[in-house]
Amino acid sequence: MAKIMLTGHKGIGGTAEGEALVCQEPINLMADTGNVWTDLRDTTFTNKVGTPSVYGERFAGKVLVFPTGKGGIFSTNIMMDVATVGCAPKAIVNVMAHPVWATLAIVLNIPLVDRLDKDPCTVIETGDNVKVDARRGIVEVTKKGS
Amino acid sequence: MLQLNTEEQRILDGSHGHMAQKCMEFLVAYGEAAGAERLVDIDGTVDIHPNSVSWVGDFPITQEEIEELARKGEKFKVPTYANKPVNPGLIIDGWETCGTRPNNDPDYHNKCMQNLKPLIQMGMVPTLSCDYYLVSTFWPTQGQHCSWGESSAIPWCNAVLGARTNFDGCFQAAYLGRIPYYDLHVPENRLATIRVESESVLQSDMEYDLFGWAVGEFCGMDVPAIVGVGSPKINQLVKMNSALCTGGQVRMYHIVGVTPEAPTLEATKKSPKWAKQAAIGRKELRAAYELLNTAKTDEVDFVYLGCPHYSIEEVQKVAWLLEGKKCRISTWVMTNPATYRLAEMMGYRAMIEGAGANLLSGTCACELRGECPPTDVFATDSAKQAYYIKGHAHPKELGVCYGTTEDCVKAATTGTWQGEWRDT
Repeated sequence: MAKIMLTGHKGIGGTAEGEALVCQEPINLMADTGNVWTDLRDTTFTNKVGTPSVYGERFAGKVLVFPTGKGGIFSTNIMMDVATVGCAPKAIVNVMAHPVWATLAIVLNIPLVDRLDKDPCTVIETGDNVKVDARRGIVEVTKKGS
Repeated sequence: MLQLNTEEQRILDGSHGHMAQKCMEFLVAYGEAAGAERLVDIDGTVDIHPNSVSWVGDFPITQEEIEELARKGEKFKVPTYANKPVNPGLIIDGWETCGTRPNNDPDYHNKCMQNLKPLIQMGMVPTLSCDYYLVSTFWPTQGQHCSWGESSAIPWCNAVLGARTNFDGCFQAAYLGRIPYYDLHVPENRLATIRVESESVLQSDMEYDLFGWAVGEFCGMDVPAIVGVGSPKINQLVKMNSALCTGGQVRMYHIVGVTPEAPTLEATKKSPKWAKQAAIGRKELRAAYELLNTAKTDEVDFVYLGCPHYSIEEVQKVAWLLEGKKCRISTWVMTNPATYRLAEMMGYRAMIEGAGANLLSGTCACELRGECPPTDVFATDSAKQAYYIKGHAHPKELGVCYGTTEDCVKAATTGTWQGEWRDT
């Protein structure tokens, strides 16, 4: 089975494996997952202006792959609430981690890696199987259907 | 590895009490995650979002704990300012006639205001606004270390004032007067790596708003040195900052000849060669305008103004535009509580309400999670609000009309959108 390796440096947290959800735009949870207020367990990307590439998708239990974060500190509050109902992503893969997301990853113990040797938003597609080892800074991708 | 000094270690060991220990445990966990080598004393200011004073899951600070501290007479160590109340948003002024639940319920309002009291007793200044910095009457000076959290405020602290902050305003920072020293606290990380030129001198508030959005999209996490924009007014900087940090993630920038760390272009440079350069012109501003304008009809049913919260000059502009006219649709003009008082003294509240609009303070449509008059087509003069509100209307496909303040006031009095840039 063909595997693609992305390597970088030590990230945040440990290891996790799951199905990828790839978002091509920077994410701001305060703006991009508006239904978090009405149904925490069903937190969905709801913003066609901010994150059109994942509109209607849910990140619960996925490996969330996106360029970086944006906006203020409130993404952390939102992910904290989402995590309390067990619906946080399994791991985060960024091109470059945003400080708000780095903090969120540590306090919620979500593995996060960034600054890899290949662009994760190009190499990884939604539905691929992704293994993240943040201690070693390695992402192993098994393409869907392979 | 984070190194603590003797006093910090004693706080961590519990010799300054349980709350100090708990706050230090948080700063240590956060500092280690961030790769900070030490903490720094805050000699500037802190901002916190009331009702959500701690954004850290494993280190919660409860309302009961804050009430207990206030009862014992404990105070914040450093000047601390209130951002908008969150979880959920709260209308501070004008709630009686806002017409939406639960904010128009006196019991709800009084209970929420009561919850703020212990924080105020501890010294939190109830500025209660996203642009608390406009009315705080006390600014950090250049080089001072701060702990702020609001997206649009971060570039204000770093770029406009030349003070230093990351995204970490919280109770713990205010209580201990310390914060991890990393990223934008470190002088070399504040230098520019990319150069952005405006193809023409920017004139209107909307041009600054759209320019901020376009630059934000281009910059990523880099610090830009901006040239060619002209001399922005305060309102324009507020608008530009909110777009820079929501259209993108610009935490720090330089405008050569305007911002305090940019006396010359050379002085802003991190290395001899720019990593990236861009010219931003009418084409890029137009693209941002098209992205934000998502309405498929001109029939507007709600106008929202005041993101970030309007300054007195902006309230004045809208009051004068509305004077003697009647709004045909729901129209909210949002400001901060301090400016609300000025607007009352100057007769602007009467002018705005006389035209059938609402003057309000302390929150915004998206912070209220869509608790606003029923709407299918929403008009606003803020790129940030135009973007945020799109996510909050789900599953409804809300149409947004984005344009100038004048466009929005015209829509309020006619019910029809005639955006100045629409057909240009």
